[in-house]
Amino acid sequence: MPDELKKIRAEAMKDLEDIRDVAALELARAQRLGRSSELSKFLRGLKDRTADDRKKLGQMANDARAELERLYDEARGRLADAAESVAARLDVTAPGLRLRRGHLHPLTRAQGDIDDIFASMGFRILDGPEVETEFNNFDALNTPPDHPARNMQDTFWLQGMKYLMRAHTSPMQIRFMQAHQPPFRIIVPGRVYRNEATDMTHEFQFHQIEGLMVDRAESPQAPNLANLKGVVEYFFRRYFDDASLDVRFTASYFPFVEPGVEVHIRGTKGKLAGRWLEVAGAGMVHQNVFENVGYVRGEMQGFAFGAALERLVMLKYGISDIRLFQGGDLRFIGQF
Amino acid sequence: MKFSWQWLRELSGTSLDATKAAELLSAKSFETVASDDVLDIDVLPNRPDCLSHLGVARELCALENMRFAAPSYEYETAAHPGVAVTVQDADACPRFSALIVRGVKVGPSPKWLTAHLETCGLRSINNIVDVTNYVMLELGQPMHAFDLRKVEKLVIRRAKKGERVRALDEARTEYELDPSVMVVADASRALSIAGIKGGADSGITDDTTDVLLEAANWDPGVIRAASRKLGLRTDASVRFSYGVDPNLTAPSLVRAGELLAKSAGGQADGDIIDVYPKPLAPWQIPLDPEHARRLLGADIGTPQMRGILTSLGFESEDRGGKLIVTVPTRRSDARTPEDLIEEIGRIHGYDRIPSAVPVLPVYDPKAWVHGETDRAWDEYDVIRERNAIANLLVGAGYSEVFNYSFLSDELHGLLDPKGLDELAEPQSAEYRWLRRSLVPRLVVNLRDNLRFADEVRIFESGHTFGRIGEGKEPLRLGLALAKRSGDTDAFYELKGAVDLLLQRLGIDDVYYDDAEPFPWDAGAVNATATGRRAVVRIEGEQTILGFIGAVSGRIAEAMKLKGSAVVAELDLRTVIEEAEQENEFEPLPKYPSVIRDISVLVEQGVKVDDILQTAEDAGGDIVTDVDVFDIFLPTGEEKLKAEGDTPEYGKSVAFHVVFRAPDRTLTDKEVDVAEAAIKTALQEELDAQIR
Repeated sequence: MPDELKKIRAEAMKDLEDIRDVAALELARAQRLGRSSELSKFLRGLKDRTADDRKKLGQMANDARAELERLYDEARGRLADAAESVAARLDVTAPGLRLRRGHLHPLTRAQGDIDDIFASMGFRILDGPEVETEFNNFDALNTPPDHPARNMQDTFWLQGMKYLMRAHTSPMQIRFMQAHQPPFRIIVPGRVYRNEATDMTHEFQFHQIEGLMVDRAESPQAPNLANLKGVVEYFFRRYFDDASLDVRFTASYFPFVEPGVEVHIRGTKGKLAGRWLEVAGAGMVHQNVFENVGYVRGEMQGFAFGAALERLVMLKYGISDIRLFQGGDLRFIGQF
Repeated sequence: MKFSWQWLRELSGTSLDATKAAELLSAKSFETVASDDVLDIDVLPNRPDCLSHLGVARELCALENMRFAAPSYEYETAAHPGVAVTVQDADACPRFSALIVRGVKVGPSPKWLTAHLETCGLRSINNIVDVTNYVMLELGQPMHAFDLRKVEKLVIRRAKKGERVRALDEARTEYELDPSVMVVADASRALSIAGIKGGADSGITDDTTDVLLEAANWDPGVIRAASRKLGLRTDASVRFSYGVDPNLTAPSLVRAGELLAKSAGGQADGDIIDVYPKPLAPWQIPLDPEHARRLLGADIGTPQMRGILTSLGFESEDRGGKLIVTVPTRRSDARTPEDLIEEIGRIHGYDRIPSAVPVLPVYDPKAWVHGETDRAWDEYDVIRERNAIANLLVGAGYSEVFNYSFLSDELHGLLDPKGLDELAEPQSAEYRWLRRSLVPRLVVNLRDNLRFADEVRIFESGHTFGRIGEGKEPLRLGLALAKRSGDTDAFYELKGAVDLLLQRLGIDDVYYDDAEPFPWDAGAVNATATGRRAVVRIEGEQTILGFIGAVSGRIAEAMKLKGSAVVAELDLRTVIEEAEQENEFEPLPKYPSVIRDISVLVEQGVKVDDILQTAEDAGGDIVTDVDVFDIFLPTGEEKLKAEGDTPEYGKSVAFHVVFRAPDRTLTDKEVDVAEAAIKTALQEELDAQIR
């Protein structure tokens, strides 16, 4: 490179270092690369040289111009960014624009989680009527005719005493089995009603999740009590996100199962850690129930279980008063 | 029920401490809490045999795999009863037994006896009554002691209507009876309320010397009904309501006679007086051990099963690998093989039954159905869609609420006074009427939440109740919006939410029809104002999706709702059905569209929909969309100016018209022609001024 070019390049590089804003940069660019610049003069002077020189030196001069242009562009970008970061600096700690958002009721959210878990096991999910007949709610479920649960102090009857508000989701066992032959497995989430005084842990209206899995008794896959344990254990471990959660059965009595058990769980973390909590009733479907839906006694085998949704949600989120779920207080719902 | 731990220990011979025993009972029999010398045991309703210390002691021995030494009480029945007994209703009174004890001296009971009573929560009365209570606690047979002087003959019969008995309690309460109640009577009057409470006039007094002990058996249903009817629950009625073994009466009399001899010096006079027309004998149940293993999913050996049954007092006989099990009469709960399998399972230990996730085959849904059914339920597709809609609304700023399914008397009177179904016995006037619409309670929610917020946006989905017993219960979605400021755009904001969710479901051709009367539930319609409400229809069809309306000033005032409120309600199943029909792919447009804006002044009464419809019809096939972007109701000065020109023109509407052809790029000229046609039609048909 001829000294002349070297000098032009070095001078341009030198004053580039001192430039502090975009205007000064453009001025310098015009000075160093413009029509009346030393570089332009140098290029114009080439016309008097040999063809060989013109080609060689012309190439060098154009390379130098390209390099300088690139440097000016880079510097311009840097300077523009710096200027913007000063002039239009954002306070990133100031709050974001407030978008309106609603809240899903915790029971819907929990029910969705539960549906997902059972759907992943191939359970069919059904929603049945809340007004029921005495047959579906009591008789078919093997409840003795004079059982105390039937009277008006425990069950909401409709005027006329022909229908009642279902006391549990179990009547759907009857409706479903009347229309289907095993094998099947279903869950029935839904609203139930008990005529009882309300307090922190009792509501006259709450929600249950009913489960029913039945196959022919001779089938190698006929669901048994060990399978019931396996299914509820899998469910509770997933619902409470605790792979080491323990499940235990204790003896209990419900007219529509035999054997009948109460399901207790004990978690290993959080609110469930280290104590046994009763969470569901369950058992092997009573042969009288099978008979009442038209199956032949002894031909079918299966299990059923039922849990109160509110109880599971209260345990999961540490809610202490069951009455908060009803009545639409957004100060409660807004927390979910 | 309270049990004395010391007593249980004596009867069972257990070496456990009370806490350990309570744990064992809780896991395998009944929920039990131990404190001091007392076990509080929640005996299950199918186990009346354990409403006694002897029963629980037997259970405890079975749980510990110990031999239980049951006491045996031998007796003879009297050929010539000292008192004549007539049972008029043997269904209600399957057995009536009695024993005469003479020469007692009434006084205080020995300490060991009263100690047991008091531990179990019973007060000591005197040495005669205390013995009857002691035997009840020990063996489970409620008893009653009559002063023999007051009892010449006994008639067991239904009470007469209006018949009265003074009870043997401190207050000498008088009960009025009716034929649902059984009594033990003499020739002329009722002496006691059978199975529930003795009578004041025939009981033991300080000068009683001769006693008639009654140990009877009563039908559980009769006692339950009578106890409920009289509002009277006693230690006796609780036990009879569970059901007591009829073979327990005579042994209990023998035991009581023994104890009376010890504590009151009396002597039994003659044998047991016994009316027992149909003696109950032990019954047999066949049990296939393989069935037990298959039902429990546990490998329990046959000998072990037999051991468990024996420990409970069930005899078993092996007949070619199958068992014949003989059930003692105290175990009225054991009737089927599964009942026995439960005994085996729980005594073996449910904790020893493995947890085995089942092998889950995939089912063919078509193979399931075997009968016709009304299908009163919804399948998962509806539930899932309902959840998707909920999530969409949450994203749009609406929060989900859950309400009670019942309306109060007040809401019922105000909004929906006709035709609602009613609970026979509601908890209160606040929750009596079955809701047919979600709207009434949503309006209450709006009011309540406006106390804490300036704006409230809520929704609820749930069952409603019309035409009880016929098909599915309508599944509704209710939306509600309120603003304390009295914002006049609230209606359109809620309508926007309804549109959003219908669009999300692919339902576009919706029409808001304000023609009255409304085919929608009164509970929603009556909350809203005339001229400010509409049903949501599918264009050109009869299908009605729902209803929307602004809450009327009258209702807002009556419900103390301050601000402007709007409610909407959709029938979720109809909406979901429509969504399923409409979701179809349309090819993307191949040619560009041309957009022209038109702005018109019209009379206030002209509906926006009329303008759009007119434009669409007049513009021909190349109109693909007509879309309002501004509606302006001139006020103040602007209004004066507008009225100056044309007094009746009160509304300005501006809209885009989108022109496009599926097969070519439109020319300006084509669009000009169509636009001119639209303007002419608007002028001619709607008397519009083009601006």
